Amino acid sequence: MTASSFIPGSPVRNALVSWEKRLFEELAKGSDLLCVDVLGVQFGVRWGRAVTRQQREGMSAAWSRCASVRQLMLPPMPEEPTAGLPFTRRLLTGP
Amino acid sequence: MTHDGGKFHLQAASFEELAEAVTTRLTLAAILANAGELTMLHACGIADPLTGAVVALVAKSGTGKTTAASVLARSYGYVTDETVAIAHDGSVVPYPKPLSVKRGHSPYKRQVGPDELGLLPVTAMPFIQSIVLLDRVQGGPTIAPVLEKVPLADAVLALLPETSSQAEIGAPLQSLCHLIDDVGGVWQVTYSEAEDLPAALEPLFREQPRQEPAWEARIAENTGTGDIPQGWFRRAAARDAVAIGGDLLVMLENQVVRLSGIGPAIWDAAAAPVPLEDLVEAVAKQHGTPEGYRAAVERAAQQLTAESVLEK
Repeated sequence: MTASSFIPGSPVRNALVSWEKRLFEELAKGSDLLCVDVLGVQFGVRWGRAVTRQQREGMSAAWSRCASVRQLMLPPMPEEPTAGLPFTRRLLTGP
Repeated sequence: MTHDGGKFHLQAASFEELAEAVTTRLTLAAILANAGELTMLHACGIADPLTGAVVALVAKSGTGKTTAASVLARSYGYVTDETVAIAHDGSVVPYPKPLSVKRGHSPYKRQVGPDELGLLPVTAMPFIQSIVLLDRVQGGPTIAPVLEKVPLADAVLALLPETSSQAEIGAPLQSLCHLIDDVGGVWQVTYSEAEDLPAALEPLFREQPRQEPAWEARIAENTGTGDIPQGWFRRAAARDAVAIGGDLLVMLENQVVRLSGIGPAIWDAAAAPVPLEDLVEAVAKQHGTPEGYRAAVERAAQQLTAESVLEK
């Protein structure tokens, strides 16, 4: 799965709930993405629930000079693969 | 942690560990994505804010790159503290990642943004100007920085372990030699205090006279394939080879070897399977026939076979 599959205008739906609805749910929970450009490669980092807003904002600030000009949009995950663990995050590469 | 077609799941017992793992994983993934395209030096990079001229300071992990970057980038632009990525045209792809700073007794480094440390941004298009090996002297009296040129063969051998995926680049040794020529050779700075580096390195941000090639490419391909007759020798398949002075650097699959003395003559003569007598003759033609030379060639051939440079 790549990030480009989930840019606006290309909604992806799953059997459980619409992509848009889950996206808004995730945004409401504050699971914002860290979108960075590393040596020309685009990455989106999605933090797990145990990572606090302050920690997410700290990482965004620390990576601000590598911020991607293109904000990746990733589909919400039906279930976090490591949801039961204290600190998790998911990372996807762009095209 | 899993890897699934571009997706990575990481987990950690603390946020500090997770943050460090994110930095490491992003760096590795980007390096792999650029393998074969960019020359990537394990180095911190600092740029002249007006010209974009980049000085790459090459060093192993834990030997002063981040400290040097955090000092130099108060007056020069911060390019990276991890990987200086150089394109074919000499342009540098900036990677101004957070700096990994040791914190107390924590086993994990804190990821600190360059803005928080007051490091200057890169404002001009960066391009490689100079390459410097960092040689930090610790534990003794403070010494004034010493800047000196590194002989080409030594420079290649010092840089290669500090490159990422260099073997994926076409003619990897020749490519590195071209780069070294373009920047006017490799320097080494021996120092004890990072605070002394800005003044010591200042001349290297200016254009260096291009170095005339002091090396020549050698055809690394073998001319003979198939089985090697009993007791004969053939050189092992190599990715690339360059002659520098009287020495020969050969990049094999998993290592680079430096052949000196009669080694290059033996390697040259063994492109196709040859008996020992042919090696002896080739060496004699180039080096003469001092007493015991026959036994010396035999010993050298055995040694090169043990080092996987030759095959039997």
